[in-house]
Amino acid sequence: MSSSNLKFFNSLIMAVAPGGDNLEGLDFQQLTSYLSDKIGIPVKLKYCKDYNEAMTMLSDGTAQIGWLGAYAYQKLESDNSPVVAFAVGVPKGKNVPFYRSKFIVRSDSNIQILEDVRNKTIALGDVYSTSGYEVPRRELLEVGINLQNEGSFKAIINVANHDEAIRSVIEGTADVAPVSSINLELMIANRTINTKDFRIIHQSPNIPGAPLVYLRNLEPNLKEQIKSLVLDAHNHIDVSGYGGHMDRYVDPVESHREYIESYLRPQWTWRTIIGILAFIVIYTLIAIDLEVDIAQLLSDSFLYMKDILGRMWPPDFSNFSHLMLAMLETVEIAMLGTLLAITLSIPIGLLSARNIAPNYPIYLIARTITVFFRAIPEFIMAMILVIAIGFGAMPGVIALGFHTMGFLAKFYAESIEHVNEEPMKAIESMGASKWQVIAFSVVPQVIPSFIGNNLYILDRNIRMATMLGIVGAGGIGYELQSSFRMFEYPRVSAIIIVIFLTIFVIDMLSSYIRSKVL
Amino acid sequence: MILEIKGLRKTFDDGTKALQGVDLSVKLGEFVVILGSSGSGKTTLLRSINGLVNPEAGEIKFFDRVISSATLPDLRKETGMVFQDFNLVNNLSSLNNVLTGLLDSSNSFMSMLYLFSREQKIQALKCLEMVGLLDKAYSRVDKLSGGQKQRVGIARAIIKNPTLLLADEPVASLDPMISGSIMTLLRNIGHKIGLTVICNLHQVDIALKYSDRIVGLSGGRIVLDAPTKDLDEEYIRKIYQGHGSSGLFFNEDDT
Repeated sequence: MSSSNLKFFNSLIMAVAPGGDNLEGLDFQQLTSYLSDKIGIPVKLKYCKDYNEAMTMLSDGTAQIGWLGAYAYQKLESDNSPVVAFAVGVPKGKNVPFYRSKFIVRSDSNIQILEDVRNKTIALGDVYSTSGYEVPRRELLEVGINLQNEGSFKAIINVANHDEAIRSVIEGTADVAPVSSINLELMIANRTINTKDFRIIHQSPNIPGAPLVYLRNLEPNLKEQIKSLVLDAHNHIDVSGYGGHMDRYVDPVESHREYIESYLRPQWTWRTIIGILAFIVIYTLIAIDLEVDIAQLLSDSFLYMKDILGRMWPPDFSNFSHLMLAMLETVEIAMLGTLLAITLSIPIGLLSARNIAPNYPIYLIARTITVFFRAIPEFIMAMILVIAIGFGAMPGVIALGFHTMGFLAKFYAESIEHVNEEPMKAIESMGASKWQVIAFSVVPQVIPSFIGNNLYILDRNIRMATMLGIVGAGGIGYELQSSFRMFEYPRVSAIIIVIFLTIFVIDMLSSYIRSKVL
Repeated sequence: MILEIKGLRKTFDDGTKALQGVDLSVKLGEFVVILGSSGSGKTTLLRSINGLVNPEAGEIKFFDRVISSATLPDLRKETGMVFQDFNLVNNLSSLNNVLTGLLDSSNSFMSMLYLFSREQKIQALKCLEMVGLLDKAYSRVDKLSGGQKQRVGIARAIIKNPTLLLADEPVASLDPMISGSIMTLLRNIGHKIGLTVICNLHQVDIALKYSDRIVGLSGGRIVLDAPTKDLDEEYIRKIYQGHGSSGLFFNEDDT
């Protein structure tokens, strides 16, 4: 086809495909008369019987302008399409040339979400309708309902247009109908229907409105003239088009860019930014209140630190065997304390797991016990116990055991609460007793976290046990305390090194066990 | 030819002979399905193409350039990959997941703070629109259905404007109906942006319905390579029976 030029035309023809969605609302009369008027040659409308006829007229150049309905965008996506979109109508009362397919039900319907539509009576437009069939088909597919399968519904009512679909839902012939938001809003505006009568259970993503197209190889000046006239027409006449009255026509490329941009949001929401600012402010205030002076910390304290570290050097290992015995005692206290904690935690942990506890009061009592012992630091517990039962290892063991029971029972309960209950149900369904269910489905699931938590508590107890000696509960802490009191800093550093090495070895051991067992 | 593979061999450390001399050429814009049961070597083949697996013999040419460690970064810029289990970061929004596809071309400091340029975000939004998920741009992907997750996966794979899309069993974790819509999407996007798609599948019916060409793999060898229009289920079944391979998914109606 050779390049067309205005002077070769004594009239222009606009080919209009049938509007699948809304036949009565397809009105280009004012627009074409306005164009005839301004361009100076008649612009004639040719309503085609189907999309193919309209497309053929444009392909062979019989028509120069066209409206291809919902298929236009599909067709236009290919680069060698003979036509390009130049304008798209913005429906009255809207800001964007888009509409949606909305699934409506009666207000008193028990349909809440799209999945509920299965086995209901649905009103559908014909298969060429975008918002009455094609888009709903895709939306239903997302929730696993096949629109083409009649068995998915109790009945399918075929309706001629959206208005009929809306009426069929409100009058009760259909339970649900996917309809165009344009028609729905129009009927609300006309007060044909009342918003109280129906509910929207689902809406599709935005559907772009069908654009006006012209031939790609039309003379550039003519294309520019047609385009600018159409985009400006709303300032001079009442524009209408597909779907009835239009607010205006806009450039599809431009409007698509604006549409995409309307989805831009800052990567950091205001809430996050306010949160970060609040965090900074609170910690600044805390630093001011506690008179944290980093400059001083770095200058003065650094000197004192250097001094004391100098006095601690070199470490004095003269009583090494004595130290090792004390360290061993500490480790023993920790191990015994951990065993005590585990023993106490198994029943209390089970009873404080919501899914295992026999009833709420017992659950509450078990939880209170764990919270209580967690709340009392082992230091304080040990101090009291030293007074009650005297110096030695036992106050340390009991203090550690009870305090960490508070933690362990909580950890156990949490991992029990997070077990997958489905295997439990399966074993229960085959007649196992409650304890058998626990033994065969809960225990295997919690074993890894059980071992992990116990190792963590052991590790923690060894660290804490080194300190317990300070209040007289035995072990290496006692040595540390007395060396400090005697200003024997080289001994202090020796003790710290022993503690460090012990904890290092224990840590290696426990990660080895973890890697083997978990 | 966008891709030319010659004599590709791969034996894994445990002795599995995954590929035993595979020759394959792919034309620009083709939608090729590599059909095979699990263990047929199709995943190894796909992974060799973008260098996730190092073949021990044979060569792969991408636009007449032999793939080596030197040319691999360029190839990876030109390929997108879609995975069976989506491989999305669940705690991130769809948009941020799609934007991860642009990390290699982003300012590394800004991207550490999740800051992307306006153009990058618009590009990501356009990809989400293409897969029909613009409305879910700011939803966390763990709130999406399986089909929607795979759509995000596809958007992530195409954001770099690749010329080659590798899809490894993209619908194996989805139910048949949603599989259809994902395959349609892959095919349409392929046509729309002129993408060459190589897609691994084990379902014969899906392969027949959506591909331009089917390459059948069995025991690490190509046993079938023909335009889809010349093939039917019966023929494919016969070929696979001859190779004693099971695990292909045939339509129940025909058995």
